[in-house]
Amino acid sequence: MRKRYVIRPPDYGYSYEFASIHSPASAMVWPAKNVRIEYHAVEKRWGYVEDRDLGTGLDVNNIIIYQMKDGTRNTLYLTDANLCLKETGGSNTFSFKTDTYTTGTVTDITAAVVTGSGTAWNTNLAVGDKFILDTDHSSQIETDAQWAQILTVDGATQITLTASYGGTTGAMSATYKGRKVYTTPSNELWSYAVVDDKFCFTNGNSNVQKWTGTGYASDLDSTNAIKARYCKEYANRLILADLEISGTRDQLTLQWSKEGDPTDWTDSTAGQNQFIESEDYITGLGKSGSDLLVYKENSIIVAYRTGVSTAPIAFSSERRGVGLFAPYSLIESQDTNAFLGRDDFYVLVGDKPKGIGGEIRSFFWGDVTKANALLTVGFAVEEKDEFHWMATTTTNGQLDFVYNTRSNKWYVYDYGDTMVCGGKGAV
Amino acid sequence: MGNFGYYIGTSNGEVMQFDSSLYGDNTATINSQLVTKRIDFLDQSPEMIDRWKTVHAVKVTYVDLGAVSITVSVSTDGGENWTDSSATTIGTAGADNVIKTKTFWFIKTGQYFNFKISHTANTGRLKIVQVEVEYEEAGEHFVV
Repeated sequence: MRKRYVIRPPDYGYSYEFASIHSPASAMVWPAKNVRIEYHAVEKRWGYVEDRDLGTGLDVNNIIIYQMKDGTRNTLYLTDANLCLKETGGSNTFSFKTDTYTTGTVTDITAAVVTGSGTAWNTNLAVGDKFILDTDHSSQIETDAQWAQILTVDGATQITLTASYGGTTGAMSATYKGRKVYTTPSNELWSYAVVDDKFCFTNGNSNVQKWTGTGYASDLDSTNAIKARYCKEYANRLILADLEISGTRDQLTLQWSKEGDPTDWTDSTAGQNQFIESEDYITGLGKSGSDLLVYKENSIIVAYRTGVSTAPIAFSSERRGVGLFAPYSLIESQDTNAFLGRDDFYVLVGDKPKGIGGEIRSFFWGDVTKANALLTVGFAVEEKDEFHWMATTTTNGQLDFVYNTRSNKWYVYDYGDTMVCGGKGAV
Repeated sequence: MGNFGYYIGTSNGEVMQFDSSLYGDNTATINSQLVTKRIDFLDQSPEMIDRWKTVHAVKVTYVDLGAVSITVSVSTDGGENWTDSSATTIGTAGADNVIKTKTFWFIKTGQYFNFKISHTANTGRLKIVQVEVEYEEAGEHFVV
């Protein structure tokens, strides 16, 4: 006699907590992919379309919305080398907002040799930086084909490009741009914060940068804000962590700026703190509720604002045992933090981490090496109540492990492109 | 005030916008598939313990969100090998949002089964609300 086995509703999502035959009837296993659980049904996931092309072969490391007090809404992209602003209207694409040097004039370009006057290039440009004449530049329709790379800085008034300049040549008196590209360490992303209406960003290698919504980015403070790996706004101050102090990297120190001024690090209300009670390094900064959270590899330090100007932040407790293992897995959303720890995915309940990865943990760690897990990148799609964590697996390429915070279900996306980051932009 | 869009950045310089009205990855196909856990039917029919079973059909209940092609597959070795149905179009161009069913026929004998429903395309929506397996007891399990 024939029987019927009914899977209804097919809404359990991934299930690796039990041996497969003991899982609920509606459980999914790999290679289930590119489906999501919505209202107790299984749906094909949504897709994507190209919005901007920043250049072949480069990583788009961060996508950020920077909203200013005056209502201006900027969509920013950070690549290994540049800060870019999304431009709209007509055929506009994006513009570079990377730190740019424009002093002096160009007096002659012959083949690859550029001669200037009053330029002081020897102290302001470097090998690898980019050069273009303003007259050749469509600044809102990047990447302009006339950008040239500097091969050598020959002196205060001469540079040599890697190839003959493709734009205007010969004798001239012309303004120009020297784009001082950044270098982001391999496998690292940028960290960013908005303080005093300034967009501050840092990558652990360059001086901490600021962009004010006009002109180009520049050093925040080339003496006191150097090579920070993490930053965060808290108590109306810029917080930096894991940075270079007096020429030496210090992965255990956090420092904060003057209130309301991220460029002032010497005021009596600025300060710093060393976290030396546990030996592991700072791996990130987060905020949850009114707390500042300082993540280390195996612990979380909870801080609060005191209201005392000269000691504005108090570090009240260190919760040991669970920490932020993968620095860029940290997601701030839904008034909590979610992240990848050493053994599981966690979400903070209050300031206590709660494991959420039971149903996917063995699958994740079974196919993602510790080295690749360390590079996991997280982002939230709040509209769909989803936390996404993208990681490179050993046998299935890059996968996006998705946690639905409304249904507490896990599922997996496999994209048609290799992804580096996720974020929000203005539309 | 203004709206947000969700974006992802690639390793090839592209900024992609997630769009809930799109069902392709920048025109590339999305291979979406539901794969069940290993099923021996015991949770709903305990008497099937230690019995061979023959699967005859898989009935897919779906919401008609448009015409899409799906393939239903069954495996008796934990997903190493799959027996596929013919690709079959379900739903209608009118996308009337009505719940409908489509049955896929098999004759596949085993002790443990995985089922897969897959859809590979750069357009079209798929929404599955129920899966029903028709099977028959096929004798006591034995080891030679």
